[in-house]
Amino acid sequence: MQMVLHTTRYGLRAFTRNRRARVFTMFMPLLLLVVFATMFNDANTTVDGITQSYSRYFVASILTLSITSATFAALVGMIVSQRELGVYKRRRATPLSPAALITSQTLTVVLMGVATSVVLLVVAELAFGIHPPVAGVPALIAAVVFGSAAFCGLAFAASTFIDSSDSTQPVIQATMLPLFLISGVWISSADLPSWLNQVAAVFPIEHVADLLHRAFASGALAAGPVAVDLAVLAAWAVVGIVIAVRRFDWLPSGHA
Amino acid sequence: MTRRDRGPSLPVMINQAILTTEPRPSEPPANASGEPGSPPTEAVIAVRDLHKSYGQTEAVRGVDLEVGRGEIFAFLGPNGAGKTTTVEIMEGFREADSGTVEVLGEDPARPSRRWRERIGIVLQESPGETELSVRECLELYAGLYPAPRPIDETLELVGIGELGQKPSGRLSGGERRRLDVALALIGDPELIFLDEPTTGFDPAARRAAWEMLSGLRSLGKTIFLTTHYMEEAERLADRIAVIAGGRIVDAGTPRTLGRRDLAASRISFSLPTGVDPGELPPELLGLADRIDGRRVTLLSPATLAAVQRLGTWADGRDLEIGDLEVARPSLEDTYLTLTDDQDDPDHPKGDR
Repeated sequence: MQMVLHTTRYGLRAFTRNRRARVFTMFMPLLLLVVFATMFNDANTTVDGITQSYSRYFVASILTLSITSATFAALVGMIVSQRELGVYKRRRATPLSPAALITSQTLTVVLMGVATSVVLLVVAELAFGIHPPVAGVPALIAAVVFGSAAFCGLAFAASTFIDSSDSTQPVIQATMLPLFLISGVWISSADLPSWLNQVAAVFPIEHVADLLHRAFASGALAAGPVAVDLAVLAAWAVVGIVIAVRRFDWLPSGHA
Repeated sequence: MTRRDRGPSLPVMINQAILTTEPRPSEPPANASGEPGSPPTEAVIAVRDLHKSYGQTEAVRGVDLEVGRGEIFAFLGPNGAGKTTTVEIMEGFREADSGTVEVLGEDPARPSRRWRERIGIVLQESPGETELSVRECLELYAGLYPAPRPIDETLELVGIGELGQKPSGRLSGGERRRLDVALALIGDPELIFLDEPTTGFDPAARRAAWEMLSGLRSLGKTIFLTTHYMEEAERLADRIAVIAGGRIVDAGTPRTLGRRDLAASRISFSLPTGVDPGELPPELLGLADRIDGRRVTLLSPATLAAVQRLGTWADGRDLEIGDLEVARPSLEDTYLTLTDDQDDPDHPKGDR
């Protein structure tokens, strides 16, 4: 455990110094928050039967983006490049156990995701006076925990299908962008055909977004939809981990 | 060359040369761990009949290796000869199909944490954690070992004591390699694997790296070195093994590899104008490898005797031979001969 924390500390240090990681996981969500919350200050929108102001809606959406970027996009990028650059091989040559290595990487990106989310929440409150009601806090925490679990599991699985750093960004963008569009993150689900909603409901982003939108809406949480969200995210975490365990590889290529 | 004629004894001398060269340790290694060429007393690495295939391709076909404590052991072979596979099995990155592998008394396929603490690996070309400074990289890896070496001392040892604050992503090739070596040393291992430590270096950086690696010898570490540079193996290694076509084709000291110590020397000279090479004494003519006008090249396992015979003959005729050259086969020649023979998979042994 001490080794996990030690490795995580240096992982975080390296992560925060990496310009691309900083831009994608920290500045992008922050920039979008400021732009969207300012643009849509007054109007209301209805998502999943919840009516709230656009800016409130977008704060939740951008938190979804930030969690996904950190725990999926950044983690896949980190795994693929560290495998490609031989960092994994070097770490495996040390007494650090595989479990400790994976844990510290997961911890690194989850901490980054949480830190970004906290910054977003603070900015949302200070600049726009938007914060989740107390009743929504459990859903917020559940979104971070279950979302991170699903995305980290999927990140380890996805990394086994990407053979070089060059193809990481295209693959991530090609999967994330359409899912964001159909998952009620940028466009209200109510404006989409119902079959697209059904497609979106299969994937994890829709459920993280749903949890967060519910967290920010006033009133008590609807237990039924929240339970579905948690179940789907947990299932994705398991799927990701199973695939990763079967296919994961420390060496750049051809390790038999 | 002032001795007098000993002409008739030439064949005797050749015999003596052959008989006496074999048991003579040509050059004792700089460390005192044992007789050169003889099996080491305490084996740090013991590999027996190692096999490994990838699909239909048999990459390693029955490799035996033994490396003793404190040795610098060089492992040579062309690309695709099974070198990397063998090394990666010993490092615990791949599993053998059959055969036994013992590294520090354990099977690398089931590496224990304790075992990992005792070995250091310098990997081929790895840019590593480019966002961290040199010192931070060492701190990170030091934290993974129970009794790491002091960081400053390790940086000094590999000659980058002044670069601690530099981001490791901005190091030159040579500096990066030194950091790699430092990372392998930080856990204070007993055994160090060095994979092509100076590939891509300019000559000055290579010499500096050799000095650093010689320094490791004095720490009493066992070093398993792979390289493409014969000069590197010759300068650093106590013993060398050559792999080709998935088998060890020869092993020995840099002096004796491929029976190089017994191989004929090349004696070249030009006769003065008006002297026909046919006038040379028959026992020298018999050694002729090439005659190109007045330029004569002899191949002789008893160099001194042949040169002496030539001197006596020239003296007797009052001839001056100005451009006499004597050349031993280089390690590179020996290596190329050994690895050339891999076309015949059943008889890969270089017979020289």
